[in-house]
Amino acid sequence: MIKQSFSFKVFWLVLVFCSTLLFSAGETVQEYVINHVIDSDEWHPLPFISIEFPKIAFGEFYSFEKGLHFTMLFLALIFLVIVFVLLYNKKRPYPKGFTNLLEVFVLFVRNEISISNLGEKDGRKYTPFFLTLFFFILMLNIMGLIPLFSTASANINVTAGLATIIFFMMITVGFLRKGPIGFFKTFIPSGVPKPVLVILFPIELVGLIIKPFALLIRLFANMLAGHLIIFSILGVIITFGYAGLPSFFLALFIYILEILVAFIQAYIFTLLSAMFVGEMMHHQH
Amino acid sequence: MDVSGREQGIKKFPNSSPEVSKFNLLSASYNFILAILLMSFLGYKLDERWGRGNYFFTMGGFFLGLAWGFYDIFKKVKMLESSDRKK
Repeated sequence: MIKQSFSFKVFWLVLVFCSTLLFSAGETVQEYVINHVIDSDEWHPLPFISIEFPKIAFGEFYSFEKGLHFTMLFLALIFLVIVFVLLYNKKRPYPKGFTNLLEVFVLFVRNEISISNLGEKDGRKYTPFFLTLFFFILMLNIMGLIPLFSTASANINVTAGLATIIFFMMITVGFLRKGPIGFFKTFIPSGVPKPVLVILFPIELVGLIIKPFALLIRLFANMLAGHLIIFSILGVIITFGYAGLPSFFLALFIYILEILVAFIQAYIFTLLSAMFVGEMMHHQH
Repeated sequence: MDVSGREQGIKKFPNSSPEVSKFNLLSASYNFILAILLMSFLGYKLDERWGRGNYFFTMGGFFLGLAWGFYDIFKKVKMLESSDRKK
């Protein structure tokens, strides 16, 4: 009973704090909102606080101007190292506490994603890669839900980078497993008359580009859309004043839904990556 | 001996669970739209470089994307049909 009343007070405190910030800040809040989803040369951990990134130039051709999402990627890396090196206790025969929670995800990725799509032997071999992919995307998605950080997975360049890794992995695995001729044979469906192959071969080949492209757009669009919906609903408060305060509950509902989306998107990206790599490895028409 | 149960719950390969089939079908809609968009965009870029003002590559890309989208859906439905027959 005491706990309930305490959480109720905290909830109202947060509500009042948020609404005060939104009413008092005007343009600053707009900047803060945009800064949360779009890459920038400034980091706004909280409204009214901004950290400017230095501009670094590597010769004439490449200059490093927008460092926000790069910083988020680096922070996600540091958090993952902290979680898996410092907090994950491998020595115990029985996992306990936080290790137990992490092991649920680790075993799920190994059994349901890696082994079931790549086979027992290859699945175990590639499990570390898919685990890295899953936890990295999950960490980026979850960081996007914390107001202090920005959503790096809502940046198309970040998801394009991840999808490029999958694209080259598909090609490399296909070449190494089957050789150059065998690799191109995977795009020839069996039992199809030769005149039809003239049409089907380019269509199958196009799929090699489209699949990773769909992968990158799916993650980018879902993460960006979710955050924009939350901010749009919160924007009702700025437009209508105190009359718009009930929209906070809708935003809270969408926020809770976004936590689910963060996990689902990490799962879908990893699952589809494993399926595409598995298809190139054990191709059967 | 694995006392922690870490070796339990390993699925058969290839995975034909209903969840995976559903995700496969769900991804078909995305793939269909994105295939058309991507191939049309690539065609448009080719037209900008080598086109003669008749949007040949853009239309070519559009129809190639459309063909791949339908082919992808056809393959997925066929796969679902065959897994249903096995059950």
